Amino acid sequence: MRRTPDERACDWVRDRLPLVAAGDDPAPGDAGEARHAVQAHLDRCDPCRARRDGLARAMDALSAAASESPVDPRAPSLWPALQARIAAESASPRRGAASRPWSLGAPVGALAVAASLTLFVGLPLAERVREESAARMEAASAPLPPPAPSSSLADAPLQPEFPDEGPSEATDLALLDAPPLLDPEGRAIDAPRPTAPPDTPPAVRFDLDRGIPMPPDARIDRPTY
Amino acid sequence: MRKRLEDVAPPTPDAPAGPSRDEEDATRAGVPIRLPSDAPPAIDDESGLNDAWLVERTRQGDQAAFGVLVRRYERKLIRVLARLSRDPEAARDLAQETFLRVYDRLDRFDAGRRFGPWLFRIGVNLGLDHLRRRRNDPTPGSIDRVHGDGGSPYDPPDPDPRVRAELAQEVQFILAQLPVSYRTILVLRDLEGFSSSEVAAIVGRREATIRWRLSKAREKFRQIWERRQDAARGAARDG
Repeated sequence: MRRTPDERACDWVRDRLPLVAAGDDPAPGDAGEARHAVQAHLDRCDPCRARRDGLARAMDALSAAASESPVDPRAPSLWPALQARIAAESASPRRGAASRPWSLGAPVGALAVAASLTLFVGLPLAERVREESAARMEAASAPLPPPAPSSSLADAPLQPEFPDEGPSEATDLALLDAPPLLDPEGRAIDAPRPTAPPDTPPAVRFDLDRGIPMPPDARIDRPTY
Repeated sequence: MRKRLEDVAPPTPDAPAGPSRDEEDATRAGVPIRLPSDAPPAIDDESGLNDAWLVERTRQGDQAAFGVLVRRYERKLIRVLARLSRDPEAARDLAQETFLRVYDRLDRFDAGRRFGPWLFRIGVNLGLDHLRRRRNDPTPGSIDRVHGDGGSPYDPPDPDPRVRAELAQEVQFILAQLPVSYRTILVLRDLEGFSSSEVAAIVGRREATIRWRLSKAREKFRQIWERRQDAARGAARDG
């Protein structure tokens, strides 16, 4: 519902009445203008004038209450008790340092705590880090162990896989002394013979992203991953 | 309940020796005195010493200077806290706590600013904390309980001191109905007479915000005041 210009004027005045009625300035800049505008409106608007009168009565009540102290004016000062408490807290080393942060005790205490932390926590930690670093460096600079001699299966000591069922040691020695078996061409069957290079197909590179072989032209000069 | 500090306080120390005529002139003018010896000067004429100088003396360990600050501000601080909390005993305890905090934090005080608003800011914050705690744990015997929502309102201002006291109680009752932010502004501005700029410094808001909030608080106070006055008149007519 739209408000008439008169109603909007009443709203404007009533927003400012609590300040103007008590002698306060609604705003630093327009004090005089606002006061004159409010007064001009009040001269012709009975409801706003009634509002102003109600505010004046309420402010009178506040002023009367302001003159009544809620506490006994003969009550003793707080200072003696405060002085005693300040002295007690200053005598206590813990509260004294906290209550007088501008005194020399606070920074000295903080430095002492920091030094203690450094001694009891920092030094063992640094020692541990130093030891771990030395161990890593020692491990890295140690000589590599000699390569283990490559031994063929024939040189490996024979260990019966199934000792209960296999031949005895004497039987094995007899087998070694026996003449070698010959193939039809007269060569020993365990002698090394020249073998043709196997006809291996060229390596097929896979497209690892798609999981399929890459086309031949794509395999040229491409990394194999 | 916490033990009152007065119960453990020693007797007040003897008053220091009075200053010379030159010192009296200087202190009345608010000028710090520099004595030939290193001993702190005797503080006799407290009214002439400005806050900044007393703060500086306190920082240097002169407790008598802090005593001057306490005596200068304690009554107004207790009044503000009593009007906020509606509990004079709690207000004294809160004021003591305020001064102790001020003493502890004096190194953080910016000497370029005014001491009073800083002190009252700490005190009002303590008072508001007290109100929040009490809201969760209401104390039996408070004025709210005595009057209740149907408490009878009182007549307009009267020269009779008893009526004035009842009127002040009625105002306190209405203030307790207001939101705490409105109540704080009304107590500081209309009951204790702080300027708008001082209220702004105490509550940590801009002055324009304070004016707007003051306008709303007064209007709300008027509404409750008139409603209770109308109810009282109606009750009087009905007999």
